[in-house]
Amino acid sequence: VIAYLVRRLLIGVLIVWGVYTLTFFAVNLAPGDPFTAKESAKVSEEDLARLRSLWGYDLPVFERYALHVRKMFWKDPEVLESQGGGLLFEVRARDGRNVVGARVQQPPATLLLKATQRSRLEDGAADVTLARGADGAYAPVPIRRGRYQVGHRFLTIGEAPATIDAEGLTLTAGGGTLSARRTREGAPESVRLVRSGGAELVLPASAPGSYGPVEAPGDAYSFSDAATATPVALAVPDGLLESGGFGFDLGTSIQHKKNVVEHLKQPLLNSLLLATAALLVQFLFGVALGVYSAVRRGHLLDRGLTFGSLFVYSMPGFWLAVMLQLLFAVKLGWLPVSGMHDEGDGSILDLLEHMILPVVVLGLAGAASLARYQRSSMLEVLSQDYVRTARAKGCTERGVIWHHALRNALLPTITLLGLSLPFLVSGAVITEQVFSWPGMGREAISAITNRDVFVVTGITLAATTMVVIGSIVADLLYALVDPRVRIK
Amino acid sequence: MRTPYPALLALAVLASPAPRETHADGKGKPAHAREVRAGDDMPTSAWRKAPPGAKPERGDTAILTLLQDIEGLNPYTSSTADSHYVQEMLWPRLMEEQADYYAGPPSFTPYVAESWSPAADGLSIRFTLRDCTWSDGTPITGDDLRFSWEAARHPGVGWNSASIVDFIRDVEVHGPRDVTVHYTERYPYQLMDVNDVHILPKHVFGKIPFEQWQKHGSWEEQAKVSGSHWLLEKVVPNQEISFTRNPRYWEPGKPYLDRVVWKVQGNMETNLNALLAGDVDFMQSVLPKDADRVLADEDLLLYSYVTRNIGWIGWNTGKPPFDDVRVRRAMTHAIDRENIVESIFYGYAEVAAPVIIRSMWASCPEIEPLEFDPDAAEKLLDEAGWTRSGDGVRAKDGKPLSFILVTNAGNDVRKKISEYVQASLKDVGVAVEIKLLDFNQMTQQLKKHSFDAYVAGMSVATKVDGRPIFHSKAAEGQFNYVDFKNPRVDEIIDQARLMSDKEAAKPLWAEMQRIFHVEQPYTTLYEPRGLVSLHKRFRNVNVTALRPTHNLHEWWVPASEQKYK
Repeated sequence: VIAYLVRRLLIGVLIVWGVYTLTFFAVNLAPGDPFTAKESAKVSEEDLARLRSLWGYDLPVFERYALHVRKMFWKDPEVLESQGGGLLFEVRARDGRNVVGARVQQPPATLLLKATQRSRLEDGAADVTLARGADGAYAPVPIRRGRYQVGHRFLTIGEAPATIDAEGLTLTAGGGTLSARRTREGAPESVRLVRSGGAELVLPASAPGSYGPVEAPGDAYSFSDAATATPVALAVPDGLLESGGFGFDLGTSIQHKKNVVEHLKQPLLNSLLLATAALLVQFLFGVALGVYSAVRRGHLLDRGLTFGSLFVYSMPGFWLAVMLQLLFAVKLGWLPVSGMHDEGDGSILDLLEHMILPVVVLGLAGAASLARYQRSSMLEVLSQDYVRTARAKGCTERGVIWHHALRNALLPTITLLGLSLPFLVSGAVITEQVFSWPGMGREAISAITNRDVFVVTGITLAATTMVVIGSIVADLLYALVDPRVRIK
Repeated sequence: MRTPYPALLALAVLASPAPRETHADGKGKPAHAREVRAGDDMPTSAWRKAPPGAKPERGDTAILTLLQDIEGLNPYTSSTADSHYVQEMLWPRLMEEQADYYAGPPSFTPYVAESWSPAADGLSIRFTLRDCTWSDGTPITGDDLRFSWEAARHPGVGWNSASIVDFIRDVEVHGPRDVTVHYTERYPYQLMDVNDVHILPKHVFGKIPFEQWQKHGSWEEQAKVSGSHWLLEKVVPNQEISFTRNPRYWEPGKPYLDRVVWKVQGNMETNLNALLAGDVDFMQSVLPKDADRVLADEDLLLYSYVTRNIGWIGWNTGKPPFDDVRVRRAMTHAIDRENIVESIFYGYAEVAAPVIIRSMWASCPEIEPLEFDPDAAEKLLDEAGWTRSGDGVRAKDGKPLSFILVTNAGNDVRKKISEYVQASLKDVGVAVEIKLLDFNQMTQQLKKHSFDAYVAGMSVATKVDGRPIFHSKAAEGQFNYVDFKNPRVDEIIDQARLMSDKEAAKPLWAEMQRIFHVEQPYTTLYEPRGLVSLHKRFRNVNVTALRPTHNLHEWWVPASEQKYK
């Protein structure tokens, strides 16, 4: 079984990757790009060209793909003042030392900056705890230079900005740069410094008597070309939040200027909620009605159900949705028209009320067709010998139907269930639109029309992954209920 | 305010044309008791004024709607009109633009700027700012304006309208409340250009380097500090954005409403149903076909006003058959535009003037649209050498007179118009094939001039400037899709667009219109009215062609009618 699973999963990964790549190119090769829609009389060609290059659209599509794949798994360290989760660190100098403060959106009472092991040894750094004040901000506390870990991010703290007079120069370090001013006559062409590791840093003259500023990473520097120079150990402070290394990044949405994973989280949950409810309705009703009409074959009720399910099944979903909306929301006023919550009401009951219509629309059509499947497979099973045997054995009719027959009659339904799983994450495009349900389907439409490539690929990734998982799950379930199927 | 979104008039008509008794002329008395109709004095603004002496009362919530989620709260990294309506609630401007652009360059009333005076040489304007603060208590100063101007023009920020500030050379800060804006040249729209700079709080936005703005996300955190009438309360992506009153807003008592919530709607039909069910209070683009449903609801009012939109068919003048002016004129003669206005817009539109919309001061009222006259059309086509052959389709040198008419899919008004044009032209022996393209795809084809004819619309700027659409230079990369090049038109545009004297510019613009009237590179079809529906409990509502929520901070509801506590 394990070998089987591994094989299936490997093939699955290949499929997902292939579809992902195809989608990427399909979106990129479709006419227009995310910026064409922004064209208007007041947007000049230069403005657009600038936007394109900011988002890397001046590169050929293959290069963009390669870049995207690289960024997907490898995160370049970035200097970030604030990032995701609403965490905002503020590093600034106070009385000659660096202090660090922080603000977060949903602030915990304390925030721990853990000094890394190496920094403990090398810099003598120690853990720092920030306590939340009444205003949600954390009071600044003194902090030593070194590397600290906050959650899964790292914060590098340099020494506070400093000014040192030496060799007839005033060296100033701050904000990640170094600059120098002459204080004595006889200015050299440039000022040369050496970093602690031995690398040389040159500050060229920028105006008579002043040098730099040049970018200088947090480190200690000393003069390199004056034999008598005393090491000045000038540290450049740089409060920077890094998160380089392995990561998982599906790109940034151009429309929303947000990380795609972050952006799709909420729509995914919303779709999941709606689709789970709809699938439940679909399978419970579908199976029950199917079994019922098979058992009562030819009865008035069976005929009624057959007619009813054909009627519902042949109705276009969007039309049914609008009709239900008109009847139950506009005319009768029993249910809300759209959205997830009423104004000023965030209760579960309110949410359930909002779910009724979309769930009915999504579940009903599915249940109708499923009932047809279930009915025919049930009829087939009921006419088989072993069912007669079971009856002959003296099993109750109920036991025959629910235990012996249904177990076999469920097989096609299980395949359908497996194949329905992707729908959980892909969302229902039209129903979500009609009921203003903020799910994946609506995201998909808006992303496709705006050529927001990484949102489209992100949604595709979620959907194809579910297709692959769904088909594996269906096969496993199959083996579980059907003793004839063995997984090898 | 300049928001021309070409070809984006998201109108959709689903129902079949039905007769309706209304005001085809778009004027006159309100057709319905529940219609608030813009008057002739200010056709661009439908204003339900409170009775004189009525005292505004505080309280209640307005539930407004959007058809698409906003693109974040930073005006310099977003581009949709909806985003800007919402952002207007947070970021102040120097002045308030009035919707009187139809009468000349728009006028401005004080906002953050208390007063202003242009220098004698016309190259700078000095502003005195009001003594006012951001919602966190920090004063709004000239530094904020300078910072915002820097953001507007910074290449890393990538504002998609950065060219607006091309003529602003410098923003000189003399003191916290004393600023001079320097321009590179004299021109009539100096105030408008500097006013398109939304003022952002430097002490908040300045913390994020300009280079990072494009990828910074929704700016929700920064938008907690407001300088305008409202305070951001909550953002739920794709669902709603809510605001409360900004207690530090400087006009005493305002805004009158406690809260404003924008709900994102799935589509227009949903918006309409939610409006009729009373779940929401607002719909910003009621379709003409739905106007009757709205008017039938006792709780709703329909605000109607003259928009800045125009719809047309563009003929590719760069290649046969439309390189021949006779063929183009014949097309216009063969299309009954009155009928389009009546049957597709139910009378909520007017037959369009040649290229400059009727409501604009520069539009010349003397030019009558070409008449609907199929006989004249047939004669012109005969003259041009396209003669009737056996199967009814005209031909010349063995080539049939047929062409492809493109428009964007998903816009039912345009589809209907295309079908109507197809049927009308068949009558005069022209075969039309309709092609519905994805919007992006269509734009690409139009830009490359690889089309015969297209149906689209344009929302024009509040200033008269033909440069991006009608100038021959605009055929490359801009909006002169029809490839119409006329040296006199170029001359007129270059000269008239920068003229400060309206009266002197008028004859020039009229001359340009006459050229377009004669040459017919466009068959201008319709100028639609804007239809906005709002619950009747809101008083003192001014819906204008600039923004449906033009004076949101002055709306109020009598205590007895307040719906939300």
